[in-house]
Amino acid sequence: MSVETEIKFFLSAPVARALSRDLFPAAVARADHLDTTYFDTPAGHLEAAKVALRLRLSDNRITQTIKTAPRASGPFSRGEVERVLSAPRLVLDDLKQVLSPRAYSHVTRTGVAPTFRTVFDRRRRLFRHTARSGAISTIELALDQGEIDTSRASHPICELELELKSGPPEGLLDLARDLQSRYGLRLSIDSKAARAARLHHGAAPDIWRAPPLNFTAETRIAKAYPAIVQTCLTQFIANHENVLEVGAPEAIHQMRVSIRRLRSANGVFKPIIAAARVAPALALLKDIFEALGRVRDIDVLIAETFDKLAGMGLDKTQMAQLTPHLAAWREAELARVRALLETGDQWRAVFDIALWIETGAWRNIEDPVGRLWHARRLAEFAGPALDRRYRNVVKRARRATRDPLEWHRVRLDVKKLRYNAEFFVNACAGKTARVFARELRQLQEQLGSLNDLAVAADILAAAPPAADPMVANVIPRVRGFIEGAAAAALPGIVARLRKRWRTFAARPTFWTQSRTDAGRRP
Amino acid sequence: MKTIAVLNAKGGCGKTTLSTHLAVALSRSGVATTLADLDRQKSALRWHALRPEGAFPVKAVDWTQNIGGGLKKSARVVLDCPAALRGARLEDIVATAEAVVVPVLPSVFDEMATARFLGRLARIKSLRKGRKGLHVIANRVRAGSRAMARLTEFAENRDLIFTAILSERALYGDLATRGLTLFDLNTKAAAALIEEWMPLLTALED
Repeated sequence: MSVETEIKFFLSAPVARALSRDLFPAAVARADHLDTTYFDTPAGHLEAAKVALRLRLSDNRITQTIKTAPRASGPFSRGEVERVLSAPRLVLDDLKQVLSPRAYSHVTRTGVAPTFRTVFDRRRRLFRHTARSGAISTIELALDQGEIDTSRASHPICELELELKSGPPEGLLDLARDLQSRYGLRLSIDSKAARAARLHHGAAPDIWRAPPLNFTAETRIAKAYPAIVQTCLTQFIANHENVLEVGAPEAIHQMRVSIRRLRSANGVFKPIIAAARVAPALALLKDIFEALGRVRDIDVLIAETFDKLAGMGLDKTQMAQLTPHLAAWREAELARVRALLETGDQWRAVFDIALWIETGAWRNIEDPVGRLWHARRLAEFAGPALDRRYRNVVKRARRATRDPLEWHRVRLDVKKLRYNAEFFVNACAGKTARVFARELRQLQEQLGSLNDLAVAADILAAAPPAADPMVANVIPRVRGFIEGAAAAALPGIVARLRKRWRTFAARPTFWTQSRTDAGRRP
Repeated sequence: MKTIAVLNAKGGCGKTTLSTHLAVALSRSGVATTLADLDRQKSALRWHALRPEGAFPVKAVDWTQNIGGGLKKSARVVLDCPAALRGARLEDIVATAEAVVVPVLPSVFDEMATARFLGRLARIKSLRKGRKGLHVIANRVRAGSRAMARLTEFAENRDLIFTAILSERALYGDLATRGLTLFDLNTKAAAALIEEWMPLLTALED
């Protein structure tokens, strides 16, 4: 299986015309007509595995291509298995390279059939690009215009693809950044296959959760840190479509998680990375994070906190009166998020961070001795990275009284510790690390129940005034109920928290050096 | 825990300077490091006793009598070994270590002694088979000097590549009298010299 490194942009018709004129003159561009059929099992096993199987006819040539979802190496890398066929007969054996044995067995047992087709004109050319560092890459630019055709609907294709043919990925990223900035292009990691599958099912754009980090005890920081950043970028880009088109609560949450993880990684590895270089990019993503946060708070109130409050005795009629007002407010906040995303500034931030990783600039810290960390095992950095934060959390929790504000600060500390610890769990001592991570999550959830009540009251205080006098009357009543319920529940919650906290604080941290490791005698 | 043994049968070739510098560098880089003095002269311990308050903390232990003690929570141990190590004792120390560092001075007597010593090391299976890192360091050299040219020839004749080449500087002696190393300083001059150490430090941490 080879790895394809490709960046895709969605285009509007005017932008496509401008690109066609500027980048694809007849003298250098070649035109093709591509007719592609995609295949899957009736139950959609390939779609579930995020694998695309297709036959493409172009210029009397039949090519079978299998593509996978973005890999751990980054949002722009996919696995690809390709072969030229003498006849339009699929070679399913090639799927063994990308599917688990079980998934492959399903596919061969049930067989595959055509699911949808794409027909488009492609103008393509090779482009030698010199990046700012002087690195030279050869990139194939392809401008695709045509249609996706499923049994349900058809949808236009208007895309620019940049595929790295030779040279370092830095050249590809640099060119993509330039073109995005010049033409205001919209980045996507959505393949034609994935879009077509959604059209076919009438589904919304994907919601992407970060996959577990496959680190081991031998994983070095030089490999781990870039991999962490790449998964954050992939998660951010992958949820972008849904946030823009649908605004599903889970997509909002996952996009927010991607930024939080990125900032958390930047914080925990700060002593050993040249963080200043991407500070502007991270500041921009922070603005998006905060805008998403206002939508998220309303989502949690409507979907989770109201249920808890109903269990505490809140009048369901009042909740029903309030919900449409909150939903309208949510739409207004979501519109602000979308306005931010429509600027396209986030793509410059994404490319700046991707380039910083790809060129190794992240390693260029001033202190040469600090650079030694890059060659070391990730597990060895867990102690220096987590110890101080852990001790601060323990100290703050021990001192916390019944003041909800104090426990709110504990919750924030626990949340940061949890996000930081997540990067190290797989690389450190198995069961102890997993138990620690699980108990930290449970602690955070229990702290969250206290926090959600406080946040609910604050949200209602910040809600825009209601035009409907009935709703205007309900808001302060519900707020009053929440404040009363929070005060009444507080002693019980704090008692349970203290008990859980004592159990947690008594456990050894997973990064403490094992007894067998220290003190070996010659 | 990783153990680094600084060895050479030849006295005065810079073992203690190397050991103290490695200990402070590794400590400063963020891993708990212990400097273990195995030499009856106790030069490393004497240097440690001179360290001023406020200098970067480095732990030092006396292993001239009780080998192996005082290593709780250490991630790295740097062994400052005595000269004239041979036989079973040499093998024991090499057996403990993950890496062996051998400094050599650009002098014909040091080169001859180091050649014999490297021959003794080559008889130790783990070093011969490349299972442990062996790092030969050209120490106290002056670039462009005849002595350096001869040292370079010495290495080429034995298919050796110096992991690091360290310049001769009076600063080293001055720092030692104050219980300090280059890695305790924050000056431009020290930074330039620190770069000479980085190939060795990087190789040890790889």
